[in-house]
Amino acid sequence: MTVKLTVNGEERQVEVKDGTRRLLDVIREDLGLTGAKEGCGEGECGACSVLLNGQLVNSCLVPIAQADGSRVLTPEGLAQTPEGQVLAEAFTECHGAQCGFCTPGMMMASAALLYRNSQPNEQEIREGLSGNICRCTGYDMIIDAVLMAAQKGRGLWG
Amino acid sequence: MGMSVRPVDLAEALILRDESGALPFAGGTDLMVRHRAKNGMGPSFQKSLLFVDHLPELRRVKWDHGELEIGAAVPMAVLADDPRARKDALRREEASEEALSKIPSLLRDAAFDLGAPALRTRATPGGNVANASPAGDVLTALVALDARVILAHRNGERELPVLDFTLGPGKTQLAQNELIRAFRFPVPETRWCYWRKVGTRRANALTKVSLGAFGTIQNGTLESLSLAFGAVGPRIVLADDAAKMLLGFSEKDFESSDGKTRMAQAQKLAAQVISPIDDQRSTAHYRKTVALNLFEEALRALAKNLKENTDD
Repeated sequence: MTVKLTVNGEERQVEVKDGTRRLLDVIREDLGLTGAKEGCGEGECGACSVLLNGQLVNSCLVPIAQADGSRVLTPEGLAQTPEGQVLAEAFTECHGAQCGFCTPGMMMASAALLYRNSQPNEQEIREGLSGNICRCTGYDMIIDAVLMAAQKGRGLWG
Repeated sequence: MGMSVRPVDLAEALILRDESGALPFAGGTDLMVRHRAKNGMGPSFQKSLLFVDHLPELRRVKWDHGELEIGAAVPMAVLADDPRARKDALRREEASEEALSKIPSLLRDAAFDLGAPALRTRATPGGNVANASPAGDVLTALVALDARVILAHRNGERELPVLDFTLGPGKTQLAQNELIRAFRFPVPETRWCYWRKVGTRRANALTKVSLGAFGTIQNGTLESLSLAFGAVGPRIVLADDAAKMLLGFSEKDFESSDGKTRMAQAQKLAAQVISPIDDQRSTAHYRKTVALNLFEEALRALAKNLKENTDD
């Protein structure tokens, strides 16, 4: 089947033999966008997070047939936006990234949170990132980064 | 390996379901995990899949004559009051502000406690109920709300209580030609809700034990009550005898000696119907102890609610 996607603002078509192929595999292998990572492969760790029609999803749990006709924002696309740049600066300044494997997913979840709640408190940030696992930072520095991104990006998140 | 199909509407979906018996697939948050292969590989399904997540008829939240109807494929995020998901639902005219405002806190809290944000945008009540796990949070809430499940087939629909629909883990009364279309339940004006889930990790953890309670209150008196325990048996457990003991309770009954006797009896009756097991998530002993603690906590919350209502 032919699947049409708008990926990071660009229209793309992919041929897939099987509609149950994961969105994660299509964006990594067919589209060469390797920002989203496979961690657990079962929706527990959030490393594969992308926005599907503006909503945060684990791309390892989405069969590609369900994404047909949708908008997808990957970490590469987020990085090009002013919001993504604010997040990247805040993660850098607060030491929110160490090994970096969780970071793209963390930033996608952070962006999804800030889009629905532009001035979250610490508790709301912890809840917003609760589906993303980090084994390096102990989370506190990531929380600081999101607080900073909320403050520095005031007005950006709509 | 079967084919996957994505019908345009419910009518087409029901024909495909009838003709192929394909496996209904909504948000996929359970099915993709259950059928996952190795890392780097897609899932492996033996049966054909029938995608239903996008069907407009399954995505509506309707308020109709004192009853709320929740489509089987309404994302948990909408039920859990995620503002972005709700805005999308309103924009697509799948729900009205009024209908969304009627979602009882019991259902909202249970949906919120299910998974993490990225799961709640995909997971659906239809999937949670079809999965029929006694640890299903929204399933437990729907049972407490005395919801009916509406099952559609090519020539019509049938309705049955959600609890009767579930037969045990992974087993339901869904016929080969049917799809879960929606859930319906009354939402009275003066209601009392309680929800508590006990798990390990705050997010994404499956429930060790849970309690959802729903009551109606008239003139400061408890008029009806249902107590639904999750993960204490192969199905959700309704402690109806315990609930009956408490009918007619008002604020003063929580202090009186007669009221205290009735509460103690109610707890004994609840203990009789709870029969949890040991498994990888918890032990029977822990589950039973905690379930009864939740029962006590629910009663304290009820007492507080009656007190505040009486004060009005």
